[in-house]
Formats: sequence, C-alpha cells, structure tokens
Amino acid sequence: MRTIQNSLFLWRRCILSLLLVGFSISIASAQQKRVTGKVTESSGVPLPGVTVVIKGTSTGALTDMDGIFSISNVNENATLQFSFVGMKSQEISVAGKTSIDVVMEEEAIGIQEVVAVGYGTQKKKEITSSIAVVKSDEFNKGNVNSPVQLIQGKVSGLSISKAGGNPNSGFDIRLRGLSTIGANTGPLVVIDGVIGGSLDNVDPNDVESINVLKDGSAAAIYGTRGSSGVILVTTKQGKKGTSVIDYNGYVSLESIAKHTDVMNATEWRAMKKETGLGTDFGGDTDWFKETTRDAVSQVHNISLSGGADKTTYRASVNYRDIEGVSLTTGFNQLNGRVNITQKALDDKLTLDVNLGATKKEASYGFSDAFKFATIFNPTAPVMSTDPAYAKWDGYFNQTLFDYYNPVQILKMNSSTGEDMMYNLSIKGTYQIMDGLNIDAFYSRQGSNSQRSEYYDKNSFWVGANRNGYAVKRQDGSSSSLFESTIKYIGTVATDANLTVLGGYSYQDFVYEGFRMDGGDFLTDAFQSNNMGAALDYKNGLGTVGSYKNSNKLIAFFGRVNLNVNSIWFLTASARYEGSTRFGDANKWGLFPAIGGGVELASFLNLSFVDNLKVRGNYGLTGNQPSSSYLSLLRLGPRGNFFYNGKFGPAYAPVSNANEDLKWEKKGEIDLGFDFSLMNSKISGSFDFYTRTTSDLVFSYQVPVPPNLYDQAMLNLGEIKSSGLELAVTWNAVQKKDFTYSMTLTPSYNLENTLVSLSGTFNGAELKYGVRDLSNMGSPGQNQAPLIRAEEGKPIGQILAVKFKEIDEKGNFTFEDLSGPKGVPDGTIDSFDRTVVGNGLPKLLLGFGNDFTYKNWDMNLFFRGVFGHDLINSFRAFYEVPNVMGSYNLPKTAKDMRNAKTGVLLNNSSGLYSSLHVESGNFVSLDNASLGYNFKLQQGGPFSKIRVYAAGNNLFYITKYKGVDPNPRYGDSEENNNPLQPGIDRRGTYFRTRSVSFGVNIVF
Amino acid sequence: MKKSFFPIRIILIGFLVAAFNQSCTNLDEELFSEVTPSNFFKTEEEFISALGSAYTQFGGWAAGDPQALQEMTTDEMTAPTRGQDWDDGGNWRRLHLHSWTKEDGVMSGAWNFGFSGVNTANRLIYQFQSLVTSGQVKQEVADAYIAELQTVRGFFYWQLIDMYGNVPLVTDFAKAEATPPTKPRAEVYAFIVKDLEASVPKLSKAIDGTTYGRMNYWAGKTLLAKLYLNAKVYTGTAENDKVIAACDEIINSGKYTLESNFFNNFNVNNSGSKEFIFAIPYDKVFFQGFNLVMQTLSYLNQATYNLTAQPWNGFCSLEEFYNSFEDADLRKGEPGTLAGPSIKRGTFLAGYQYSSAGALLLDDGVETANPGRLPVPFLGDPDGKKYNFGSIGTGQPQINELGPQALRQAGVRIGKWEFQMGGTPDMSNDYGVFRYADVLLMKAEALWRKANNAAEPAALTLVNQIRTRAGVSALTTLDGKLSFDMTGPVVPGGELFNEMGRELAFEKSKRQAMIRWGVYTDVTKWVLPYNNVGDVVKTDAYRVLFPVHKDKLAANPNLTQNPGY
Repeated sequence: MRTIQNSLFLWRRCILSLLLVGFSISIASAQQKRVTGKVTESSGVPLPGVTVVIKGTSTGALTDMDGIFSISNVNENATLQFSFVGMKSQEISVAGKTSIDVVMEEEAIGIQEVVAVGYGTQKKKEITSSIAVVKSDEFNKGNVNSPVQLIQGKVSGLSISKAGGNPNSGFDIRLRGLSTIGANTGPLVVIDGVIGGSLDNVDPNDVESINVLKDGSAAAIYGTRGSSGVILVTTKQGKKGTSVIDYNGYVSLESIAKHTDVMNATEWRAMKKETGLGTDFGGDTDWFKETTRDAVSQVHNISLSGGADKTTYRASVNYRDIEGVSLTTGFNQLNGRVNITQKALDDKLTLDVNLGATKKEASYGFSDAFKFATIFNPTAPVMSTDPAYAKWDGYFNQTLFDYYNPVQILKMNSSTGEDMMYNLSIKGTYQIMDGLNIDAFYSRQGSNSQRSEYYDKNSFWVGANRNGYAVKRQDGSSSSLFESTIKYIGTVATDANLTVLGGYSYQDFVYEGFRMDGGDFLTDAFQSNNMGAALDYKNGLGTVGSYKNSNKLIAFFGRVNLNVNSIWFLTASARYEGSTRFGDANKWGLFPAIGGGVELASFLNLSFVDNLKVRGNYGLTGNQPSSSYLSLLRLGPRGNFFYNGKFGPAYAPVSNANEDLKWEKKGEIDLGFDFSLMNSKISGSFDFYTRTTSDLVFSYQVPVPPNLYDQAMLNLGEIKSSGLELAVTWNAVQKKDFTYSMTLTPSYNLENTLVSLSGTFNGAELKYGVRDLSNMGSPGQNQAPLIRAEEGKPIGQILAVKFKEIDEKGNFTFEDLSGPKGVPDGTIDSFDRTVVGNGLPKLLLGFGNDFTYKNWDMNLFFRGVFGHDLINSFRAFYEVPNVMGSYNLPKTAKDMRNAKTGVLLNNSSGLYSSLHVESGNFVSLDNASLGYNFKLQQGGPFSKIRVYAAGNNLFYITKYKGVDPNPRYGDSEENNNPLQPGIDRRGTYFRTRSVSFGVNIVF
Repeated sequence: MKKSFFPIRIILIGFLVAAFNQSCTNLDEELFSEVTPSNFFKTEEEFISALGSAYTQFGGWAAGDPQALQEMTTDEMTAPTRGQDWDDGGNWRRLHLHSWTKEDGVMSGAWNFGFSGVNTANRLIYQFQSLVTSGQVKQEVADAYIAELQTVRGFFYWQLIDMYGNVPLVTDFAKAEATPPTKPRAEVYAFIVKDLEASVPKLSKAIDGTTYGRMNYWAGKTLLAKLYLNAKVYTGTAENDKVIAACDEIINSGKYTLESNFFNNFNVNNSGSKEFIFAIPYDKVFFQGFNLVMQTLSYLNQATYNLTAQPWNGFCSLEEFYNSFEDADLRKGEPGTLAGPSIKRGTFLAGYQYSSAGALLLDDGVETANPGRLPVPFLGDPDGKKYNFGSIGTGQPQINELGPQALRQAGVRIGKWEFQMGGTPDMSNDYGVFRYADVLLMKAEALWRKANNAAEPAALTLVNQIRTRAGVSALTTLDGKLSFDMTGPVVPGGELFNEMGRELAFEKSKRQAMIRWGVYTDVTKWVLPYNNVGDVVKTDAYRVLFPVHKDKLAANPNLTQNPGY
C-alpha cells in the first residue's frame, strides 16, 4: 500500500513539474483577413480532412466533407500549407486572394511516408536505420487471432512461428536470429507509446500499422529493452471530417492438417502377428477422431470513428468465439478500444486518450491428450462395459507407465482460465512555439489471469487416487509508465533541418499472485470453485503459495536528426537508463546510437532511379534479467526443521546473490540501402547486420564450495550473429482493371555463434567449454542429451550418436567415432555423440502475391523456412516395433528392418540417434484470400461492402515426418531455453488448416 | 509580461531537478515475499529457523544421489532397464556395472548434496559468530549451536571423503577461497576428526524431543565411530580401538537398546524407536523427499496401497542378496502366492501382487516371448498377465537381465520401510541414519579385526544379539562365503559381512563394507548373471572413488580429478 501511494505521489510530482515548465512559456498571435477555398483530388473528387495551416504558425483548419475550408485572421503576406497523407504538400501565398482552390497530387509511394520510430515519427527518406513498415492493407487475412500473425512472413528477418494449431498458445517471435540467451528473446512491443504493451489486449482488427525497428541504432532509443528489436503497434484512429461505422466479421472452419501417422487397428494387428507383442482388445478406435473435431469459430468487429474540427475518435468492440480442433479447447474474448484525440487552447494542446480492455475466457484442454491419442492401442475401446472399468466411469485404461486414455483426459478433467486486461493512456502535447513541443504521457496497464484445473475423482491420470484434485492460480501484473519529451524542429542553416528530442521515462512493474492445489473432495460438483472443501487442507497435504515482486526502469534519453539538403542524413541518440534489477554499482547504463545516410539518386542522375539511399549505423542496446532481486542475498522458507518435537520452518538463502550483476549489452552494425526504381515500380531495401551481445545475463555453474548453490545469475560471455536481409516489392502490372504485385522478403542468417560463455565470478575463473543440454526424457531416455552448447561454435547444435544401420540381428548400430582416449574404442558411449544438425533456421522467406481484377482482389502468401533441423521425439520413442507391447507405433515402424535380411528392429526401447534428426525445411501457403468489392451507388447507405474467403496454413511442402516443421526456438520442456532449439516434443498440438468466410461493411 | 515569468520558470526547473534527484531516480529494490539478512535474525524463532536450514540438507539422504552411489553400485540394489523404461542413457546400468563416467549427473548431485551441507553449516557458523560479535547473541548460546553445526558439517564431509576421497576443504564461510583446491583425503579426514573431537563433547546428551532429528552427543560419537571404522580406507591407518571406545560409550550409557521387533525401526510411525541415534524425521507434509515408494513399486502397486500417484517400477534387489536371507529370518518377509497376498512384512516385497481389495494384479502390457530375438531369445514373462516380483517358483531368475529387456515385473522390491495405505509420493517413515544395531555391528567388526580371530567371542556375542532378534540361529564363526559369491571361497569375516548386509540392507552402509572387505571392485561376481551383450563391466581398482563431475571441474580449475578418470 505504501508503495502505491508513494508511486502515485511520485507521478504527480513528476508530471506536474514537467507540465508546468511547458505551460510557463507563453505565446502571442496577430489577426487579419479570412480565406476560403476547396481542395480536390486530381480526379476532381472533393478531399475531406486536408490540413490547411498558415505557414509558421499552428493556426489552421481542416477541409470538410465537401473539401471546403475556411480560415480567418490570415495575414496578407501569409502562406498557406496544404497537407494530406499520401499527397504532396503544397504552399500557396494568400497575397491578394480570399479564395484559393487547390488540386492535391498523389505522392510517389513511400518516400514521403512518415514512419513511427519511437518517441515520434520521421520521414522515411530521413531514416538511417533499418525499419520495416507493414500497413493494414498488407496484413495477413483470414483467421487471425493475434496482432503478430498479421505480419507473419512480411518482415525480412522477423520470424513469427508457432508449432501446431493451439488457439491458446502464443507465437515465438525472433528478430535477426538470437540476440540473447537469457530472458526477452522476443522483441519489445510498444503499443501506441506504451512500452512493453500486451499484444493480448489488442484485437487484430484495431491495428493500423506495425513497424519493426530492426537494428541496434533504431532500437537504442528504447535502451535496455531494445536488444531483441522493437515492434511498434499503432492502433486505428478516427479521421477528421468523417463519420464511419465499419463492420467486419468472419466465420472460420478449422480442421486437422497433420497428425503423426500411426497404425490403425488392421495395421497394428498385422504388426502384432510379426512381433507377437501387444494385447488385442478386439476394438477399432481412431483415437485422433475421438479426441478432435472440426472447429468452427466466429469473429465480429464493429467500430465507430469520425472527427470534427477539434475532436477525432474511434471506438470498437471485438468479439471472438474460437474453437480449437482438440475437444474442449478454445476461447471466447470480448475486447473494446476507444481512442480519442481532442485539441484545445487554439489547437496548441492536443490530448490523446486511449482505452483498451479485454476479457478472455479460455478452455485449454490438455496437450497430453495428443501424445496419448498417438500412442494408445488402436484395438482398445474408448469405453468398456466390463465392471472392471466402472471405477474409471467406464473409460478403458491400462495400467502402464505414462499411458492414459486420451478421451478420458479431455472429457473428465478441465483446465480453464479467465484473463482480464486493461490499458489506459493519456498524452498531452503542447506547442510552446512554432517547432517546439512538449508532451507528457501517462499509461497504466494491468492484467489479471486466473487458471483453474480440476481432475475428476474417477479419472485415471493426474490426480488418480487423489479423490478429486483441483488447482487454482491467479497472477496479476500492473505497470505504470510516465514519460515526458520535449521536441524541437527547426533549421540550422538554409539547407539543414534539425530535429532534437529530449525526454524522461519512468516505468514500474508489480507482479503478484497465488496458487493453491488440493485434493480429496466429497463430490466433483465444486470443480475448483470451492478449494476449502478439499480435505487435503485438513490433512496438511494441500499446498498454497503466493508471491509479490516489483521492479522499476528510469531513463533519460535524447535524439538528434540532421537533414542536409535532403541528401545527407544523420541521426544520433542516447538513452541513459537505470533498472532496479542490478547491483548497486551497476544500476545505470548508457545506450548510444549513431547513423548516417546519403541519398545517391541526386548524384547518379539516372532516370530509372527514383531513390537510392545508402545508410549505415551503429547502436548499443541492453537487456536485463527476467527476475528481480538477483543481486541481493535473500532468505526464504526452505523446508522444515524438527525442533523440540514439532516441525518449524527453516530459512535459508534462496539463491547465490550476485551484487555485481549488470546490463547485458548488444552492439550492432547495420549497413544497407533503400531503393525505388522506375517510378516506384520496384522498391525495397537491403541490409547487412552484425551484432555482438556481451555480458550475457545467464544462469551459470559456479564452484561449490565456496558458493552455497551451484548456479548463479552472472554476466558472462558473448554471442555473435550476422545476416543479410532483402525486401523487394515489384508492382509488375498496373493496368486499370488488373494489377499484380509481388513482395519477396528473404533473410539469411550468416552466423549465430556462441563466442564465449566464460568469465569470472567473485574471483573464480569460470570456463564453459562444452556442455550437453536437454534430454530425451521418460520413459527411459532421461540421460540422452540432445543439444551441445560449445564456445566458438554455432548455437543450436544437435547432438546424437550417428546411426549406421539395423544389423542382421535387428539391432541399431551406430558409428564408433571416438572414446575416452580420443580414438574409437569399440563401444558406443557418450564419446561417440557428434553434431548432426542445427535447430536454428538459416533462411527465412516470405513471398507475397497480390492481384486485383476489376472488383476482385486476390492474395497468395507463401512462407518458407530453411536450414533448420528438428529432433523428432515421437519417432525416437515409438518407431520401435518392440514397444508395441505398451504403445501404438508410427506406420514407419514396420520399415525398421535390416536392409538385406528384412529382420525387424529388435531393440526393446527407443534409442535416440541421428536417425531421428530430420531437416525441417518447408514452404507453406500461409495465407490466401479472395475478395469481391461490390460496386456501390454514391450517396447510398453503404460506402463499402466486401466479401471474402481466406485460407490459413492451407498446405505445407516438407519432407519432415513430424507434425509441424516450424522451428522450435527453445526447448518446451526446459523453459524454452534458447540455447536448446530444434526439439519437437511429443506434446505438440496437431497442425491445422482453416478456411474463413467474411464480410466487411462500411456505413 | 514575459519577463515576469522568468523567475517562475527558474523555480520550476529547480523543483524539477530536485524531484529528479530524489525519487524520480531512486532504483532501490523493494522486497515483498522474501527477507534479507537486514530484516531477519531479530527473534529467537528466526535464529532457530536459520539453524533448521542445516538440517533440511539431510532431505536428499534417503532417496537421492547418495542412495544411487552408496547402494546402486553394490550387490543389494539395481534398476534394470525394463524395455522402454529406466534406460536413461544407460545411467542406472552404468552405476551397477561400475562403468560410470564423470559426465553422469549423479556425480554432480552427490557432490552438491555434500557441499550444500558443508556450506550451509559454514554459513551458519559464521552468522552465529557475527551475532555474538554484534552482541545480539551470548557466547554460551552461540557455542552450543556452533558445536552442533560443526557436527553436521562433519557428517557431510564424511560422506564427501567417502564418495570422492579428495575434496576441497572449506571451513570458513567468510574467508573461503573463490576456487578452493582439492585436498588429500587423509588431510580432510584429519580435519573432520579433530573438529568433531572438539565439538561433540559440547553437544547435548539428552535423548528426547529437544534432540530428536538433531546431532546430539551420541550421534556425534556414532559419526566418529563410522569415521574410525573406515580410517584404514581413508588414511591407511586402522583405528579399531577408537571404534570400540566410541561404541562402548554409547552401549554402556544404557540409553539405547534393540527394539524387540526389527520393523519398529521402519514403520510409518517409527519415531519412538529406542534404536535411533540419529534419524531424519521424514514426513509426507513437513519433510519430503523419502520416495522409496515411487522408486521401487510397480505401476500396478498403486492399487495395492491406494497411492495418490503412480509408482515408477524402478529399483529392486538382486536374487543372491534375497537368497542370503534364510526363510526363517524375520527380516526377510514372505512372498505373495497365488493363494493370497503376503501377510508378513519384510525387507523385500516378493511374489504375486494384490490390490488392496485382494484381487490378483494383472499386467495388460505383459511381455510375451520373442524367440526371434537374437543373440538371446527373449523368453517373455513366464507368468503372463499375473504380476509376480521375481518370478519365484517358475525357475526363472528374479531379474532376467539388467537390460535392455528386463521384465517389467523383474526383481524383488524393497519393502523394508512400511508403505502407507493411501500414501503420497513422500513417505512419513523416519529414516534411521545411525541405528543402535549398527553400533553393535561396528564394535563387532572392530573387535574381530583387532583380534584377527573368526571366533572372537565378544564379536560373536554382539552379532548373535542381532541374529537372535531376527529369529535365526547363532553364529559360531565370523568367516564364511560372501553372499554374492556363494560358489567362491570362504572369506575372513564373510559371515559378519553378510550379517551386516542383512541387518543394514538399503541403509547406505553396503558400499563402505564392500570397500573394507576389499571386494567392491569384484563387480563381475554380482553382475555377471545379469549383464547383457554390449554391457561394459569395469573392475578398475580406482573405482572405489567416484569421479568429480566435469561441470565441477569446469567451474573450479583448482579441482583435481581422481586418478583413473
């Protein structure tokens, strides 16, 4: 409580002090005649919403619905500036005129574009760093449930992937490979200025554009959190002079595109004849069919937007009712968003208010059901009337290790959740004088999520014999952000424009929550809604826990942009930022960046070159650990202690403290060029980057003794990556009735190297050397490491013994590569493991095709990922005929034979080797859509009616035998540790495809 | 007009700067659900809770990595690879076949077990001393705690020199080197003994709730006896007289006696045992970690004891060890038969298994014969669906092979500690680390070794005290064939070795005994009946010590690897 009050008080003081400085600078103005006129497009259509400003002042007006404007108090010698997005700006002197009609001309695409760069916008031509812009008309269409899905494949170097079609799981986002091996491997998300905004609180329908700050120089203005890149999301705003009601809705059908091919009952029986193993229960069950469905989802979005002279607004309501293909999975979500902009004080003060809120109710199902559907005996029935199964409510089960009826798992147990999220922000911008603005921004966002699980008294799985078992968990977070900036735009010389920005930022975060679990209920009726009814608590067996922690980030930042003659561009920025999460001496870090660019078109003087800007930059960004207090020696309850005949709590340090903990730093050089040729027929950009991250924040093995624990969070080592990126758009055909354009966004990763993970801690020299990480797991393969992390070698090396053949006795044989003495020794052991692949992709490719024909439009978007390997753990465990005593087999198990004699593989259990490491290369048709825009009469009730059909993940072309060839950027069974990519675990949700039908109506 | 604003602006900017200098740039961390030393150690309860952290370190003793190293590497316990289960990269087989490597995680885990105990004790000794310096605690009060912590430290160091031999010697928390070097085993032994000889006399002699589960005087003496008993191994010099003296002090105190029923030491409610000199008070709620029930029982046994979790079907014992118990031995137990479940508890669970309702347990996933399997045809499970630990009565060995195709039901299981009906994975049975019976046997061994006489009467009396309780006839000689090598020669003290094995089965003394008798590396004698093609059995003499895990070597360049690794 004290903290909240403190922080509120602090806010007030910080905000007040900055605002007062702004208001204390006063201004004055003069008065003259009145000018009116009409603004039209080149076709003669009136153009509403054009900004008309008296040059050198902020006085002006907007054109109305008929393109008419009127400004009073205009000086006789004044000049009016006319500007409109996508049109060339014009300046016209008012001398001797009271009426001015203007025809606006369309601007060459792209180059005058204004791009959000973080703390403001910049003209695209002035940008010296690598920034990708994706606007709403380029977004992926169809069954899209997350804003990042809108740009999947669209941005060169940005990988957005998800294995399997789980509607409740998020996307793995990686920019330019790996920039850290600790926390925050995904880019920082900034939503309408809110740093660290939650994408879950933004409906894809409300997104106007998504910009990606790719290099270190662009991201450095976000300092400490910019190391993995920055994604800027801008939501839609109302436009002046309009009043629009927009409805979007679609229905989608989703079905399984791929599951592991396992034997059906007939194939299984044939196999049983050969192996003599397994029990035939006489049935014929397709366990996939029993656990899944064709999912039907619907999405509706309605928005109202518009604006008058001083006010613009947009409000929207989004509803999603999403089903997953697995029984009992899905969510429904209601989201609302209101954006209002109000001008006041002679338009010198602009206030922006944004509000967003989301409520999501989800049912998660159980991913284990996929695993067991795949391995369950196909001759076993789902239900049995045999009284022996009555204790499991009639569900058929066998008592084997880790083997449970998947239908029972889904139908008898539940896992649900409720998320509430909100965000509110208010921003005031005050124009102190021409070219000098000050603003103050406050936002608060919060989330509260609740998870409930209940395992039925008679279910034979988690909680078996617990007599009913319930889990309840609640996690809340809240964050306040206060920022203030002052910005000056002016000229330093005739040909040189200068923009200067300075600012202060304060952000705090609080996380708290609790978890409890308990069993032994009298009745299943309560589910997890009456935890007190669990007798476990009376018997001391239930557990409860709660936590609360907080952290703060405080920063001062500045940026200077210089534009000389629109040919030479220079940008320099710095952020000085402090975080509570570091040792006392290391809380603050400085993150500078500098970049320059030259527009060569004016020198080249080639008619087909519109623009050719060469640019280069360097930027330093940071990263902080994912948890607080690591620099402090903390004590907490660690078990109990028998004292004087009863148990009391024992308190001990919770970790090794590291008082020297400091920022992880990433330096990045980016060299590139932007080009536009033949009147923008071909345009694009190319980048080369090389980045080095040092002082990696990493949990590291430290000596015991003297340290209490063998792990500590340290700053050690270095990783390096570099790559090439290209983005090209070719407007191939631009006829009146037919257009075709294609976009190609390949990115190639040249290196991803673990340069070093060694260093010192408290005087101890720590050498990392070679470490073997991850393991295949139960049953039976707990000590089979999968990934090798090695200094000086690429990240993501997949480790295995090399498969040779199945010998004539039916045993796996492997290559004897080495031994304890460094030479082959006749035995296959850990020395014979070698690197057989890499889990990280080399080449990412996006290939978009847009067609329009009269009122039709069509889009085909392909995505390819190449160069990564995947460990197919399903095969490693079950492609072994002898395990059919317990489990169903993949169809391929019957081909596991000696090549000459046909003797069947005789190993009794799974034995991971290079045989199970496969290339994950694939090309997919990620997104395809076909739309029709109805021709509407002018003046009718509708201004737009569009119907469309869209498909998502329609097909994959791949040789990968598993369910989903998308890269796995971390080990899902080990906290997604980024040093351990490439492992396709058995719990993967089946891959799905979906088709949607939608309509968009604008009133 | 404008000018008049100027001073105000300056004031405002001044205010702004002042604000930034204070809270707008404050980055101190605020804690909510944890404490730091600055706001702890304020009350007596807080001191005691800190002391308690020295004892929570014992949690890993019963069923953790020390168990794997002290028992799995001997003739009393193994974990066969049961088809798909328990291969784990060959880790368990390697332990039993003595072909472990410095990469095996257990080598790191047991090291951490030992040094967490040492470091915690060092830290607390330092903290108590600082509290005396700062005047928060009186010297006399602190001394008692410090002596107790030194004894705790001695226990963990004993385990470290026992397993690894040569280890770093860190005795001062504040002055510890960043990368302490390895010290010779004898040097560490000398430190521990000296430290204990000074600290044990300061410990409480009470045997009641104030010392239960803690290091009292008698526990300290037993620890010293253990060190002396193995001194020949640790230093090259036998200390039989010191063993006898330490054991005599305990025996002559009259404070301990053998329980009339052997299993009183192993029941769920065993905390009153008159035999416990030092026990770990495991509890399913308060002191978790004793999960033998999960390690040894079959999946199917979930129904026998109505357990809340499915056991793992892993650890079991070996046929020769089982057979080294006479049927009349009250400690052995009774196998379940087709006529019904066993009614007599024992060190082993054998024979047919039943549900709590009395129904014979059937295994639907039964392994059927596979004669095509080469080079050894797989004979399948002779009992079919009927679940029978050890296949007794069918002529089959109790473990058909160590792997990879051990039968799911293979091996008699460990039933020494009572399994609670409706139990959880964590057992509530206390674990007697030092037991009076062990003291009697230690003294017997020291007397025998000192006299070098197979019929040493004092030694025989002590051993026969144990045997009488077990319901078996008295011994007349301590020599005999070793239980795992009944076709081999008569060995000096062989019967004593066997009796220690029977009495102290699964209580982590077997490896030490095997090393004292010099038979630990005769591994082929107890694994040959089971090992399979491709298994590597190592008989190297250096394997009496375990290797330092490679990660430990990487973290501390001053560590020296044990010879041979």
